[in-house]
Amino acid sequence: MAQAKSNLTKNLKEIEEIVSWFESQEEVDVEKGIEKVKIGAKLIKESKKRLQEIENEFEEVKKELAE
Amino acid sequence: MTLMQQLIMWQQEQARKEHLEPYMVLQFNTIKEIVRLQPKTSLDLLHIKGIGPAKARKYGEIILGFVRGNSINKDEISTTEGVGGDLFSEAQTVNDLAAHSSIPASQSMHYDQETGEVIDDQDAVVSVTDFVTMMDTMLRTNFRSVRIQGEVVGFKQNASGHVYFEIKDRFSVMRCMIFRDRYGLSGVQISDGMEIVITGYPNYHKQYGFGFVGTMVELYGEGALKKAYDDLKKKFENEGLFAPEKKRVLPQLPERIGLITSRTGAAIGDFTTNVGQYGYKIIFHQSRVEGAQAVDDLMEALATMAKKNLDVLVIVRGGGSLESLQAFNNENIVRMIAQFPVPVIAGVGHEQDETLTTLVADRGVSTPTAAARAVRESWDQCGELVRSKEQMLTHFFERALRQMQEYIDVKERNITNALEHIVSSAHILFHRFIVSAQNVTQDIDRYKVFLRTSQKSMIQAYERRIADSHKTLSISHVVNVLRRGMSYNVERLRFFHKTISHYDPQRQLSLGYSIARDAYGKIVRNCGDVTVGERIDIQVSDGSIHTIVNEK
Repeated sequence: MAQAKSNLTKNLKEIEEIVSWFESQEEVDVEKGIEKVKIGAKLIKESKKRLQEIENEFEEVKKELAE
Repeated sequence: MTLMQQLIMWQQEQARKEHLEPYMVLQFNTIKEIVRLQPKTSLDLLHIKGIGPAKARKYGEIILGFVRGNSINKDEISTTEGVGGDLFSEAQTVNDLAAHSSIPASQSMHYDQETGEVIDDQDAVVSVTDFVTMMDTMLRTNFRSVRIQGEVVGFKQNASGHVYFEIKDRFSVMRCMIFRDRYGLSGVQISDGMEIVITGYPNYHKQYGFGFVGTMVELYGEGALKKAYDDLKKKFENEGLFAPEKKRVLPQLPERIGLITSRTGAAIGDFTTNVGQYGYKIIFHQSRVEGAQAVDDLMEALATMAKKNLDVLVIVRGGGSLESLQAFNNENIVRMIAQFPVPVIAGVGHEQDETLTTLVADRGVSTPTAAARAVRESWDQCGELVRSKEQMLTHFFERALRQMQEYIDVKERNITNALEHIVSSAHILFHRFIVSAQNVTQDIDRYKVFLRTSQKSMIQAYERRIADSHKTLSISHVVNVLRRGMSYNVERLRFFHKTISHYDPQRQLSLGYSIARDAYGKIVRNCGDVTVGERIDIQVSDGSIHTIVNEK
């Protein structure tokens, strides 16, 4: 779970970086651009997968008897 | 008291001593079996479902003791069957319990605190202490938790903080006490004349006799509650507990969600259906949420949840009156929430119900649904963010593609141009070649014509010359020419013969001329050519004369 979350956060950061890269380019190096888009598409796919409906886990806890 | 009642009473007492649930001591079905089978020995016990060697060892003697003590009342078995365990459940009215728990006057019991043994013996004499202890145990066992409403009189608080007072209505009065901790926990300050509801159980003290021990006290009536609420709110405001700068930011993309609410209310459904399916781990702790009794549950839930390594804690319940929401206005609860290790979302009540819990929470919303929205907020935003980034990236991709297309177009144009150039150059060259080839052909043709024409004239010229030669080469002509030549040459030969004969030396010699020659054959022309005494030869017409020179 925590793994998935950190991945999502990391993915979003990387996607953001790619988008900023495009925005910072006056003229995009086509080959580099395609490469970046490819990576970006993969990251977006992963992120969407995490964001799509995943059933919640439900656990009931009780007072711990150790007290 | 029936065997069934005795066993259940013992079971509950034992459970309390061992800090276990009663069913863990003995299950109700097992108790029923004991009553039915009336075991006499440990071996008999082992035949009863729910009693293994361990239980037989631990409780065997006590159970057998109960059975032995009760064997004279076998006729009760049939009646107890129908009554069942419900007799001792908590949810009974005071009257019901009182009716059921009254001790039959005809019976006398010995209740041994050490062994837990109750001996039902009409002839036995019991000590005051034993009887009081028995009374106390029975009171506590049968009235676990009762709520009593009344007016406070004679309120006092002793040095250690425990409070003592009486509670009364028009006809009756009862002694009450509340231990310091529980009093503090209730978050209520009571004084004489107040209408309260006290929750607790009766006891029979060895010295002071009958009394009521409060575990919780709440104010009765909206007015009193409202005043207490306003006072506490002001207090917290002064402490800065509700200050905006104290609010923690909710975590982004929370996954471990703590949920405290009632299992049975509508709030749990409202929350779970609206929080979305983002793969949360929802850690739920049941808590009563109604009235002052909820305070204990909430505190326990908060304490447990504090150790669960949560991303965010959610406390929800539906709306209600100030009285029903009072646990959420409890000072202790509010302070626990303020100090909770992770941000807290409170969705308590409906629009108009503002609890102190809502105010102190890092995000206070008015409904469970709104609390769910607060949890999913960052997930929804993240989804939107990903979608917008996807659009941007698609846009960039299309732009890059367009650029590539343009690049290819330019290259294609360049190549086409280059090819066209090559083709046109080749075309020119080819054209030139064709022209040259045509020229050559024309030249050849011309030469052919020339050759043909020149051949003709040459032949004609030769033919003419040949014709001419025929003329000059006629025989007579040749004979004439030869004749003329020969007569001319005969004349010339005659002339040459005369001339040659004239100059012939032999003729000269015959005419008398001689030729002198020295010894070396050299002709002597002058006197100097010879010396005296030298021999010379003189040639004459018929021979030579040899002489010597005498004088000169």
